Amino acid sequence: MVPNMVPRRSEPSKNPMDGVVEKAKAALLMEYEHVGAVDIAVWVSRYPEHRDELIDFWMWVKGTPRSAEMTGAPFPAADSDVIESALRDACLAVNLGRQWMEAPVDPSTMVVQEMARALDAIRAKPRLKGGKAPVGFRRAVVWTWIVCLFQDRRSHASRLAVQKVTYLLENAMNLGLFTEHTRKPLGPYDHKARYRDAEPIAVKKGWLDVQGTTLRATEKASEVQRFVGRYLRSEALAAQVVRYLVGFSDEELEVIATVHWTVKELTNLGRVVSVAAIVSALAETPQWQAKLQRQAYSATLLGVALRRLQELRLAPTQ
Amino acid sequence: MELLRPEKSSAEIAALPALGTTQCLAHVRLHGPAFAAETIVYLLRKALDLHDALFFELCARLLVGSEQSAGYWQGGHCEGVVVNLAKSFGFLTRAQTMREFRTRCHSQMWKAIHDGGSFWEMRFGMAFRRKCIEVARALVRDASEASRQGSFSSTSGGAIPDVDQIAHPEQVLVDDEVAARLSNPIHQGVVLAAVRRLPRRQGAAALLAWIEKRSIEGSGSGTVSTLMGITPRGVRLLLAKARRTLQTDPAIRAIWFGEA
Repeated sequence: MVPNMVPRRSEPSKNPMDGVVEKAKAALLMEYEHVGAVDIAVWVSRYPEHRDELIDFWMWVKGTPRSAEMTGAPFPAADSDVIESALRDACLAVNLGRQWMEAPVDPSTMVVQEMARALDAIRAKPRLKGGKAPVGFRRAVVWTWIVCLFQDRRSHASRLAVQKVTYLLENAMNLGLFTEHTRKPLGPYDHKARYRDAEPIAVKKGWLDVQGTTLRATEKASEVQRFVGRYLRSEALAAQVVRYLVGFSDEELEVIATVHWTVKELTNLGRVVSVAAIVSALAETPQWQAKLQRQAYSATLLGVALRRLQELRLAPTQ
Repeated sequence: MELLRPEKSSAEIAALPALGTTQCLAHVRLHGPAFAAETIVYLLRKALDLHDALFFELCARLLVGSEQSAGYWQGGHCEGVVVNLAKSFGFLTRAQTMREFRTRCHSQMWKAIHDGGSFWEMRFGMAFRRKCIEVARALVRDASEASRQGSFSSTSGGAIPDVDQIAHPEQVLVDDEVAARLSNPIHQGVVLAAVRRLPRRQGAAALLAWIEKRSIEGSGSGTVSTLMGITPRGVRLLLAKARRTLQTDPAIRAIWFGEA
């Protein structure tokens, strides 16, 4: 557990969505380089499951200069400080590890503030009903997509972590998808997602491979990329939120989700939200009072979790 | 996609003295400035395996070049790609955007070199170009997304619409003259730049229908509807929205109405 509960970076692992589509994009760019034009219809027919990404990528490749069309040196030395800085970090990472090149995540930075502001704005707007897909299918798509984002940063995702992220994402964006969480010993838990729809559908579709409590997205999981944008109120913002949350350990996610649940209850009862009130509420809750014996639920770390929620505007500031 | 190392790079690697020796260091110092980028990436990866930060730095310098006292960048294999793509995306005239673009391109390149992946050793130029294009895409999308933050909704990203939200056909159809103007290569840079700022699916529909002049529906696999995997009505709504947004851009309005 990192004492100040700041999301940490870890070695990224392979996102199954990346393999095929990344190779396809590389090949498309090669064709553009050699021929000077690309018939995107051919590429879409070759990789129909990646049509959206290929068309989008082509939009960005089209019109860019090919090697032969590029103007040569000399180039004025602009921004040499950033080039030197990147080079220096790459050299330091030889011995300090790749994570040295990752920018440290400071939750008090502008990025989180901006994210919180955007979440506020999206929650303030009414949710529009759109599309005909059953809710279970939507939940399976978003569930799988979250596992894929986990795999950008971790070798796999635990069910506990995905449960907590869906809970926090729902509360952050008011998606209307993951509203079935109930109080369980390890924090808010959505049993329907586990047993009835999200996970079973994702497994049946071949998107997820489940081994015990470990979820792994398969190559087929790239299919969800076609749908997920329709079920999230803003895919970019949702991805930003999930990537932020993935930086926390499973235990930290459990603490944050539990604190959020408790804060909501305190707010509904019209009580003041404070660390002391959270400790007291946990102590009064039979299912959760044992949590207070754990180091992760010390007053200090509960305070840090509350601060993280306040930074995201998911808890009131006093 | 099987790729072989370029011939020049293969020959250079074959001529290298044993890695980690002082002879190798001297050899790279002497011949490095003329090495193919693929050879340098190979050496960088070897330096990583050996945890040899000094050798890594030597090779890294060969890959990116260095600033000369005359105020120009000399050597390296990166700056040309960065500058040419930046020019194509219209970043050169915006100092802050250009700086961000350059920062991200270099940072992403180093991460990719640390991560491994044979493509960088086989076709460095293509791999770096692809990375830079991805960076530009993210940069423009982030900025466009930020400007739309106040209007997040379930369809703000160009998601598939409900059928009862379909626009009138006349809002969507573009007559032949307008279509010809939009797809005119002279205007391609301006139109593409505007289309890239649209939400993703609106941009895709506009690219296919107006820049590539593909029909919305019909037989064959090359229609916008077939390519995007949505109904013609869905395409029309995306185009109606795209049209409304594009026409707020004075440069696009000028092209649209034949005043450019």
